[in-house]
Amino acid sequence: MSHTYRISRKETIRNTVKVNEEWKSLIETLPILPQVEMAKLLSEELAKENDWSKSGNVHQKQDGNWTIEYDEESMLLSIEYDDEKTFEREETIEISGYNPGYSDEPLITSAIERAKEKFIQESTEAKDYEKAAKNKLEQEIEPKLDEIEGLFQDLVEVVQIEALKKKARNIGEIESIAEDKENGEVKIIVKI
Amino acid sequence: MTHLNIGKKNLLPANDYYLLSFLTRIKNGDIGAAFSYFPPVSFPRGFKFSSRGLEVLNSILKNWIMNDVVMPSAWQNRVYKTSTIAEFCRFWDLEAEYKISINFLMVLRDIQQLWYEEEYENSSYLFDRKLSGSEKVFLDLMFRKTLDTKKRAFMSRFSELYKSMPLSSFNFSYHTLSIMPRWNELSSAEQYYMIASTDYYVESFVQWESEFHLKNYEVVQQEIGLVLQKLIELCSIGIKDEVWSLFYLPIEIFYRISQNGLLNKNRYLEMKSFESLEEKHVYGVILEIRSSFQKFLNKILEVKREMQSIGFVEENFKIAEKLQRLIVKRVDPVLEIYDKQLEYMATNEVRK
Repeated sequence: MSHTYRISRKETIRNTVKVNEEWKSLIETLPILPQVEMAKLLSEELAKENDWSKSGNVHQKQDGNWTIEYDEESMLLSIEYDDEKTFEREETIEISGYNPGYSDEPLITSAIERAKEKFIQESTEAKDYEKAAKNKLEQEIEPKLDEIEGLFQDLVEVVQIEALKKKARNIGEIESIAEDKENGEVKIIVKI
Repeated sequence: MTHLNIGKKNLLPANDYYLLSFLTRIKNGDIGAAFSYFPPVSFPRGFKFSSRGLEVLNSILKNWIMNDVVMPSAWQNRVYKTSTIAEFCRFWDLEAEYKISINFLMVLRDIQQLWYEEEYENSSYLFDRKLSGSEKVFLDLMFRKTLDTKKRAFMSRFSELYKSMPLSSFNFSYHTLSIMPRWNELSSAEQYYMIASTDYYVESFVQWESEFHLKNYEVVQQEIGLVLQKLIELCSIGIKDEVWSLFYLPIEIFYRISQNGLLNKNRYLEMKSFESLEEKHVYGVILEIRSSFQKFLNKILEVKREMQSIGFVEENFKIAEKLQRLIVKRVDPVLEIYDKQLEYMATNEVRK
C-alpha cells in the first residue's frame, strides 16, 4: 500500500540578467609596406597608448562594461559590451510524492523550474535592471564606438606616415619631410 | 583433438561477439548491418567483456589504425618493417601499444543508445569523455567511412550530433595541438616518418573541409582556427629547429586552401547554420575566420623569407633549394589570389 507524502526543500532560485553586444572590425591601412610590417607598426603605436595592456599578440583595454581587443597579427578589432547581474531568492519548494521506491528528483526539478519561471516574471528588480542596462548601453554605444574609431583612425594615419618614411629610407637618403596634418599630406624628398 | 581446442579457443562470449561484429561492420561503413549486430542488450553491465574478447578488439583496432592511417601516411614505408612503423607514431599522438579504455567503450555505448533512440543512461555528454589520440582517430575513421558510404542512414540518426561535434576528419587538427613530444625528442626514424606522412594528412585535410556544409558554423570556425594554428606551429618548429622538411605539409595545404574555395566567403554564408544569425554577427564570424587565414598567410610568408635567406654556400642549401622550388610552384602562384580573397572576406558585400 502506498501513501502520498509531502517533501519541502529550501532552494536558492537564481535569475541572471545579461546584456551583451559585440562588434568586430578589420583595421585597414594603405598597403605601403607588406601587411605584416604595417600590422607591426600599428601594434607599436598602440602600445604607446595609455590603458592598453598586451598579452601575446592581443592588445586589450577594459573600460567599465566595455572590453576592446585588438589582434595585432590579423588586425582584427573586437569590441564587447557585457553587463551581467544575478538576482537570487530563497524559496521553499514543496511537492507531493506518492510513489515510494521511485526517485522524486524529476518532480523536484520541475518544481524548481516553475519557481524560477515565477521568479523571472515577478522580479521587478531584475526587469528594472535589464531596462536600465539596455538604456545605459544605448547611451554609451555611439560615443564609445566613435571614440574607438577615432583612436584607430589617428593611429592608422601615424602608421601610414611612418611606413612612408620607412619606404623612403629604403629608396635613398631623406632630404626633407613636410607634414600637413590638416590636409593629411606628407611630402618627402629623397635623394637617390 | 588439437583442432577441437583451436575451435574452442576461437569461441567468444556473446557480448564480445556482438561488439566485434559491430566494429568489423562499421569499419566498412555499413552502419545498418553494424547496428543490427549491436542491440542495446549486447552491452554487459559494468562493461565486463572477456579478456580474450578485449585482446581481439585491441588487435582489430590496432590493425585499423595501421592500415588506414599509418601505412597510407608512410609513402616511404617500404623502408620499414610493418611492426616498426607503429613505433613512429608518437608525433601524431597515436599509441604504439594501444589498449582499449573504458571511456572508448562508453562512447560506443553512447552511440548505440543514440542509434536505438534510448534515453541516455550516462549523463555526461557524448564525446566529452577523455579519449586517447588513437581512440579519437577510431571514431573519426568510423564516421568518415560511414559518411562515405551510407551518408543518408548516418545523418538520419546522427545529424544533430554530427553538426555540433568538434570531431574532425583532419586527424591532427586539435588533439595533438601540443605536439608532444617535441620535435628534437623524436628519434631520426620518427622524424623521417613524420616527414613522409604529408600525403595522408593533406588528403585528410581535403576530406575535412569538404564536410563543412554539414557542420554548425561555430564548429567550422573553431576547427579552422585550430587546424591553422597547428600548421602555424609546425612552421614555427621548422624555423626554430631548422627542420625545414616540416614545411612540406603547411605549404601543400596553403595551396589547397586557395584552390578548394576555403577563402570564398560565400561558401560559409551558404551554410545552413548561418541562416539564423543576424547580419552583424555573420560579418563578425567571417572576420574571425579570415583572421585565422591571415595569420597562416603571414607564417607562410615568414617561411618563404626564411628559405630565401639561405645562400648556396650554406651547409643545408640543397634542402633549402628543394623547398624554394616548392615555394615557387605552390606558394607564389596563389599568393595574389589568396590575398584578394582575404580582401573580399573583409568586405560587407555578399554575392547572391
